[in-house]
Amino acid sequence: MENFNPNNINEEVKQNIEKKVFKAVLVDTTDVMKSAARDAADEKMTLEPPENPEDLKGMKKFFKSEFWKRTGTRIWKHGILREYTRNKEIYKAREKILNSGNIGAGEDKDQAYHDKFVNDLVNQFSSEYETAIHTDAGEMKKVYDGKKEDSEVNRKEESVKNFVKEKIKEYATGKISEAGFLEFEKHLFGELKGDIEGKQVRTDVMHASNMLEIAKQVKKAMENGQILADEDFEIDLIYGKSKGDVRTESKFTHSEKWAEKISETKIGQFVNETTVATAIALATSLSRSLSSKLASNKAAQFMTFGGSALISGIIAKSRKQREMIQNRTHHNRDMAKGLDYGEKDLNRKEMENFRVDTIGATAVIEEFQRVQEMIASGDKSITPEILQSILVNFSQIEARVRLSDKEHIDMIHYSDPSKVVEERWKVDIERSKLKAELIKMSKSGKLEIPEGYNFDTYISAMTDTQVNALVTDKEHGIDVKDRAFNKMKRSKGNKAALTGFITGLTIGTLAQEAAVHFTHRTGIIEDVYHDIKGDHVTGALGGVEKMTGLAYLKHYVSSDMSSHFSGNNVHEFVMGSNTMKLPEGMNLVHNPDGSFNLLNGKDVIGNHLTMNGDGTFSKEAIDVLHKNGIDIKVDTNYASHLEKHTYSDPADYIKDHPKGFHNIERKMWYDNDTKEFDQNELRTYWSGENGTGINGNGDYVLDVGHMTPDGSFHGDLSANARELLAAGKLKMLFTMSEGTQNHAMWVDVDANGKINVEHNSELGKLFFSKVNGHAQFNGRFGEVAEDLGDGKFKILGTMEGKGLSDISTYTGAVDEIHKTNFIIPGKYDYRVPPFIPVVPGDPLEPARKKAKEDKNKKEQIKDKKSPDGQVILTDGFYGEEDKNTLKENKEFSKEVTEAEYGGLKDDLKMLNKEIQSHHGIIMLEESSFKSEYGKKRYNELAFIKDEKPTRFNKEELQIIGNEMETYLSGVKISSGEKVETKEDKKLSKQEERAQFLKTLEDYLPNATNTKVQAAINSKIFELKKEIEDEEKIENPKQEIKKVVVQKEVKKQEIKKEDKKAEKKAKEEKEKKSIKKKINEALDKVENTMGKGLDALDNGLDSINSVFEKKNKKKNQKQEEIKEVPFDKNINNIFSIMTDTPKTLEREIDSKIEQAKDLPRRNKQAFMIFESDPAKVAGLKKKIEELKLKYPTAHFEFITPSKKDKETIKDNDTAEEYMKKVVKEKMSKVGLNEDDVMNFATRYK
Amino acid sequence: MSQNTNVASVKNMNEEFIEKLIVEAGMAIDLDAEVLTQLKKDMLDRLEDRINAVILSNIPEYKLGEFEKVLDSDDEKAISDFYTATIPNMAEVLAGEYLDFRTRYIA
Repeated sequence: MENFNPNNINEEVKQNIEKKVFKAVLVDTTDVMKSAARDAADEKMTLEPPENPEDLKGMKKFFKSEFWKRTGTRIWKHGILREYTRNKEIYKAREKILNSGNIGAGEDKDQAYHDKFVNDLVNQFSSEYETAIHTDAGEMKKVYDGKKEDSEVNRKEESVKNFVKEKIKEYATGKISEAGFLEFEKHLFGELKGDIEGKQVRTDVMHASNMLEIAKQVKKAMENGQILADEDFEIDLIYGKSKGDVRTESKFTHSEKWAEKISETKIGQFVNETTVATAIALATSLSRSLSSKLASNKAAQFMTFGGSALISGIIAKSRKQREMIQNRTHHNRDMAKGLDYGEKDLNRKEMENFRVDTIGATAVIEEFQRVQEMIASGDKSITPEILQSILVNFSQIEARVRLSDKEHIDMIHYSDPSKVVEERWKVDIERSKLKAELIKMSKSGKLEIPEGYNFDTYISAMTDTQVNALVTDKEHGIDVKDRAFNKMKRSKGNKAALTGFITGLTIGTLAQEAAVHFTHRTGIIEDVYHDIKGDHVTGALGGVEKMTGLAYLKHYVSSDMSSHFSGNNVHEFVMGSNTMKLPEGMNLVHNPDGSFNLLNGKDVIGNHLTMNGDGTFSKEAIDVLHKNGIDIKVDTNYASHLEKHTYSDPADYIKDHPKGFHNIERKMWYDNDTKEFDQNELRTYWSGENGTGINGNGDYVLDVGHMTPDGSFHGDLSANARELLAAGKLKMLFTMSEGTQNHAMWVDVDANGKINVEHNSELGKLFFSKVNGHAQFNGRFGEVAEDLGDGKFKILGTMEGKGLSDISTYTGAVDEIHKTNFIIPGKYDYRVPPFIPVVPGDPLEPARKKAKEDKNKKEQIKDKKSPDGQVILTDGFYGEEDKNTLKENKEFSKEVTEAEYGGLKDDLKMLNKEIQSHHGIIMLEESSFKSEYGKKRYNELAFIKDEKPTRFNKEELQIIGNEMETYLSGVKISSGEKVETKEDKKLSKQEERAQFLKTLEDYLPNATNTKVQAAINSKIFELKKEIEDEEKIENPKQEIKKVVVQKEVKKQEIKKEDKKAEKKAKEEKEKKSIKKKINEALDKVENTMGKGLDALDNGLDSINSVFEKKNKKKNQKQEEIKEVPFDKNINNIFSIMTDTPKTLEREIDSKIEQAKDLPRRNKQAFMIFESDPAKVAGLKKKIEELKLKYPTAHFEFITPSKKDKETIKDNDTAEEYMKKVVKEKMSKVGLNEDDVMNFATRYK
Repeated sequence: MSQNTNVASVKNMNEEFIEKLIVEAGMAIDLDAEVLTQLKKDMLDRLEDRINAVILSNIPEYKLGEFEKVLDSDDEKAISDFYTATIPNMAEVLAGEYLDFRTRYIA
C-alpha cells in the first residue's frame, strides 16, 4: 500500500472538494447469512395444513391415507429427526448461500433479490444519518476517511483507502480482471474484519460491497475521459457489520441455549488430539471386558433402561419446548417480513396469540413524512397538544426500535422480505428528519419541553415510558405474551414427556419383538407358541438361549427359569433300569470306587455320586447335586409282563392256590339255642379308624372283644369267650363260598379280641375291599371259632358276605423303569428392550405472501384520501347536505332513529376512550361501533383500508369524533323529541375528561421515570380540580350531597379494595404454596436424577424382592398341589359322571380303593364328565382338595362343546362320548387300552 | 502443530474409530457403498454430538459462562486449554463415552 503523507492533508482536503468522491462500502453480512440459512431451513421444516381437516378427526381418520402420511412425517421429519433435518437444512442453505454469493439462495431467491439487498445495505451504510446504524442490534460502521484526530490512525486509513483506490484503477485500466478484483475485495474484507474483531477470520463468512460497481463506474468514466488521473477521484471507505434482517431471535433458557450450541458447534473437535487418542485406546482395550460385563449385568441394563425412560421423558419435554420456541421465532420472523398465514394454518394461528403487536414500517414512514410536511408548511392546525401527540408517537417508534434492537423482538414489520433493509433504513431516515424538525420546534418554543428537561432528555424519558408500556401492558405487553407462551410451552412439554415415556416403553418393546427374526432371539410369540405346542427347548446348558426382554419377563414371572431338554440336545446314559437324559455337554464318568462324577464339559459339577441298585441316584448323590444347583426328577414307568386268569369257581382257585387254605371241620355252633343269630353270634364288629374296619396301615381290622362270657352256649354246652380270648384259643375263619366252606383261611384273634388282616396279604386281597372308605367283606363267611386243634372248631359268631366268584389272578411280573431328568437353572441371554420415545412434531404451516388484491385495495383508498390527510365523507350516506353541513361545522337539524342516536352517543364515548392508547386504536374494528354512521365512517378511514391500524391515525379518528359531536348537537330522535345536545356535549366532555383521568391514573403505576410520574401527577391534579370546580359551580347543594355520596362510595371502594387485597394475598399465598410444592417436586426430580442409579438399583431390588416373594408363595402352593399330568404313566382311567362335590368325592374314594387292589395302582386318572361349566366351577374346589388327598392322581373335567352336547341324549350316549374323548387323549400320549387296568369305567 | 491440524486429526481419529466399529459390528456387510458412506457420516455426527454433550456435562455450571466466551472466541488453543484446566481427567471421560458408544453397537 502507498504511504499516506500527513503533511499534505490540508492540500489534499482542498483538492477533494474538486474531486469526485466515491463511497466504497464493505459490509460484513455473515450474521445475515446465518439468519437467512436458518430461515430457509425453517421454511423447509413447515408442513402444509390438511386439505380437509374434518377428514382427520375421529375414527374416520384411520382410513385416510393423508392421516398416515402426515403422522409419519410428523413422527420422523418433525419428531425424531427434527433437529437432524433442521441442522441439515441449515447446513445446505448455508452452503448454497456461500457458494452462490446470493443471500437469498437458501430460499431460492434470484440474483435480483441479492442485488437489491446489497444496494439497500450500501444505502444504509453510506447514509449520513446516525440512526441508520443499529448499534444496539450489533451493527457497526467504521469510516476510513483519514480525518481522525490521531495521525497514526489517519495514516493507516489513508493507506487502506489508497490501496482500494489503486485496485480500482488497476481494474479500470484492465490490469486486473473482475475475478481478480473480487478476490482483492474478499482479501480486504478478511483483513479488515480480522483487524476490527481481533481474531482470525473463518472461511464461512460473507460480505456485501459496492466496490466493483465503483470500479466499473471509474472504468466507464476513464473511457469517457471524465477521469484522467489519480487526483480526479477519491475513495471514502466504509466498513460495516450488518444485522440486516428482522430482529426476532429464539429466546432459550440456559440449558436450551447450550443444547442449541452443542448441536451447532463441534466443541469436541477442540479437545487435544493426544487426549482423544488416549481415550480411544483406552476404550478399545476396555471394550471387550467391560462390554461383556455390561451384557451380563442385567441390573446395569435395567438401569440404562430405566434411566433412558426417565431421561427420554425429560429430553422429549425439552425437545418439544425447543420446537415451540423455534416455531414462535419462525412465525414472528415471517410476520415481521410481511408474510401471512391462512385460515387453516392452526399452528400459525396458535403462535399468533403470542406475537407482540407490530407496527408497519411503511405506515411509520408515511406518517412521519406527513407530519414533517405539516410542520414544514407551517400548518396552523398544529396546536401544542397535537405537537405533544406527535412527540408521544415519535417516542413510541423510538421505543419500538430500541426494543427490537436490544431485545431481539420484532416490534416493526415490513411489507416484503426483500424490503426489510430498505424500509428499516427509510424509517431511520424519517426518524432522524422528524427529530430534527421537532428540535427546531422546540428551539422556536412551539414545542414545550417541561422544566428540567432538554429535548433529548425529554424524548429519552418518554421513550423509557413507552418501552415500559410496551413491555408491561396488562393485555398486550411483551411480558403478558411471554407468560402466555411459557405456559403453553410448559403444557406441551409435559404432554410430550408423557407421550415420550409411554411410547418409549411400548415402541421399544414392540421393536425388539419385531426384530427377533434378525436378532435370532426368541420373542414372546414364539415362546408362547412352543409352550402351547409343548416342545419348548429353553435355556439349554450347552448354549444360551437368546430371548427378548418380554419373553424373558414371561419366564421370570411364571418362575419357569429352568432348562428343559428334548430332541437333539440331549443324550442318554443307561444305568440299570434307569435312563438318564443328559444335556449336551454333560457326561457321567465312572470312578474306580463305583461312584460317578457328573461333568459339564471339563467342569466337575457333581463329585462321587453313588447309585441305588436300580441305577437311580442315591439320596446322598441327589443332595450333592442339589447343592450344586441341579435338581433331579425321576419318572417311573412300569413294564408289565402279567397274565390274567379268572376262576369262576372258588374251588378251582383253592385247588390251584392251596397255600393258606385249611381243611376245617365245625364240631358245633354255639347258637344260644335260637334260630336267629343273637348274643355273641352278632358281636363281631368292624374295628379300625372310626369303625371303618380299616386301620392306619390300611389293614382290615375286626373286633370280638365285646363277646360276653355267657353269650355262647348250646344246650348244656357253653363257651366262655373271655377265657378263650385270654387263652388265645379263638381264630377267625374265612371261607369263599358256601361250596368251599370246608376250606378256610384263618387268622388268630388276639387277647383283646382284635383280628388283623393285612391288606396286602392274599387273605386281605381275596376277602376284603375298601368301599367308600369302609372295609367290605367279600367272602361268604367269617367265623369266630374256638380252635379245638386238627382243624376242628366250635363256632361262636359268624359274619356273612356275598361270597366270591370270578376271582382274577395275574402271573408274571411288573418291572419298574426309571427315567432321570436333570433340572438345571437355565442360561438365558436376554436384552432389555431399547427405549424409543416417539413424539410427533408440531410443524408450522408454510408462510404465505399477502394477497395481491391488498395492494390494489390500498391504491384505491389512497385515491380517496384527501391531500390534508382528512377523510372524505361518502356520498349518499347522510346526504350531500349533511356532508357539507358537517364539513362546514354548521348547526343543523336532522331526525335519526332512537337506536342510531343512542349508538352515536355510545360510539362517541367509546372513541374518546379508545383513542387514548395505541392499543385502543388498533383494537378498534367495525363492530366496535354501534351507530350506522360510525360503522360507515370507520370503514372509510384511509388507515383502515390501508390495513395500518396505528395510533398515528388518532387524528382521523378524532375527526370522526368531532363529526359525531356536531351531529349529535343537531339531530332529533325521529319521534319528534328534540335532544338536548348541549347538555350531551357537556357530558361528553366531562366523560372524556374523566376517561383521560382514569387512563392517567391507570398508567401512573407503570411509569418508571420519576419526572414522567411527576408530570402525570400534575396533570391528574389539574384534571381533578377542573372536575371539582365544574361540579361546584353547577350545583353547590348537590355537590355537598355528592361529596357525602363519594365518601360513602370511597368507603365501599376501600372495603372492596381490602377484600381484593385479601383475596390477592390469599391467592399469592396459594401461589407460593403451589410454587413451593412445585419446587419440592422439582427437588425430588433432581434428587431422583442425582441419585438415579441408586434409586433404580433400589427399585430393581424391590422388584426382585416382590418377584421372589411371589415365586416363593407360588412355589409353596405348587408344593402343596402338584399337577399330575395325563401321560403314558397312567395306570387306571376312571370316567365319572357326577353332579355334587360330595358324590364326586365318594366315588373317587371308592375308585382309589378299588385301584389299591390292583397290581398297578400308582397313577390314576379321573375323567369327570360335566356338561355344565357352572357346575365345573363349583366342583373345582373339591378337586383341589382331592389333589391334596391323592397326590398321584390326575383329575380332569370333560366338558362337551355345544355341538357335542346335541349328540348326548342319555347316560349311554354320554358314556360313548366320554370313551371317545378319553381314547383321543390316550392316543395323544401314546397310551393303549391294554396299558391301563381300568379303562374309562363308567361309574354313576 | 497448528490448531487446524489438531481439529483435522481429531476428526480423523473419530472417523477411524467409526470405521473400526462398523467392521466389528458387522454393519458393513451387504451394504451399498453409498449407504455405507451415509451410515459412517451419521455415526460420526452422532459420536461427535455425544462427545460434545459429555464434555459439556463435565464442565461445572459456574464455568459455563466462561466457556461460552472461550467458545465464541473461536480460539482453538484457548478452548483446548480451557478443557485441560476444567476437566483434568478428560481422557477417562472421553474413553467412557467412546466405550458407551461402542457398546451401543457391539454388545
